[in-house]
Amino acid sequence: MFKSVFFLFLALFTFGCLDEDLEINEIEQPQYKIVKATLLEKTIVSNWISSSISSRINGSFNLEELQKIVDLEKGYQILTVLDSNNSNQAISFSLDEKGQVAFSFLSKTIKSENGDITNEIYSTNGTLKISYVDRIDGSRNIIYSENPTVNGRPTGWWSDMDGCLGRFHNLTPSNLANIGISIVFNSATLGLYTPLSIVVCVGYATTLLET
Amino acid sequence: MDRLLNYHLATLIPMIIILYLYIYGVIGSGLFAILFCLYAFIYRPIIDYKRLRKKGLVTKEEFIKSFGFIRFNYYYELLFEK
Repeated sequence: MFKSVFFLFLALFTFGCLDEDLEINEIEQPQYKIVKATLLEKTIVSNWISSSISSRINGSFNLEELQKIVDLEKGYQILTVLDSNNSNQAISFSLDEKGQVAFSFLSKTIKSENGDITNEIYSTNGTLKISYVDRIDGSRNIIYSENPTVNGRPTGWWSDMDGCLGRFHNLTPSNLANIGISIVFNSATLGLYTPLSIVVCVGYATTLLET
Repeated sequence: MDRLLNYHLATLIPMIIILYLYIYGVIGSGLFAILFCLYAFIYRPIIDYKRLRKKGLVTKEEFIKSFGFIRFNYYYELLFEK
């Protein structure tokens, strides 16, 4: 009797806690708006470029094409212009409250045949700051980061391995349920679920590194 | 030695396949849980039972009566003993 109740509890516990795919019935409103930059913004950026950036970079961006991207949800704004010689590259600026350029960066975007998009972010003196891939399945992998951590989390191979392990050990949004599922899976496999998931994730992260 | 190796291959390969199917997004978390439960509560106990029976450690009645929990008494014999 106890064992039957145990199995019933186990089934409810495992399947009751799983994430359900949510159907999105609402038509999503666009989150970003792209408008032409004002004359004042063009002048500020033009002055900053001529005083701060090498003539090689300076000459390849036509500031008449400067666009402003507005995050409608959070209110952030960024000014950006495409490289006239290479439309995969752009230079972007953010202005501070005083209307001066607060920071700038160069970006390079490459779309692969399978639909993955690789983004590389450089400082204006050409130093690679971060590189990441937005995959067609919606996931994002950080390939390189100048800093060993992004948002407090490690990047690169370790990040991929860590994220993979998280998928095996965070099957539900509930931490308690996840601990329970791990205990059950480990017990049922005589303790091999966790070690084997580590081995699989090492292989997975290494594969990502090579692609 | 071969028996031990065969046992480990028979138990590990299906589990590795399920884990890889899930991590590469071929199956979702729901199907992963179903397949893993089938593995953990049906396939694995059968393989363990066959190994324990060959060693003469359990009978079919004992195994069924214990709902397979009896294999936890023979952890060393299952995983390490030739």
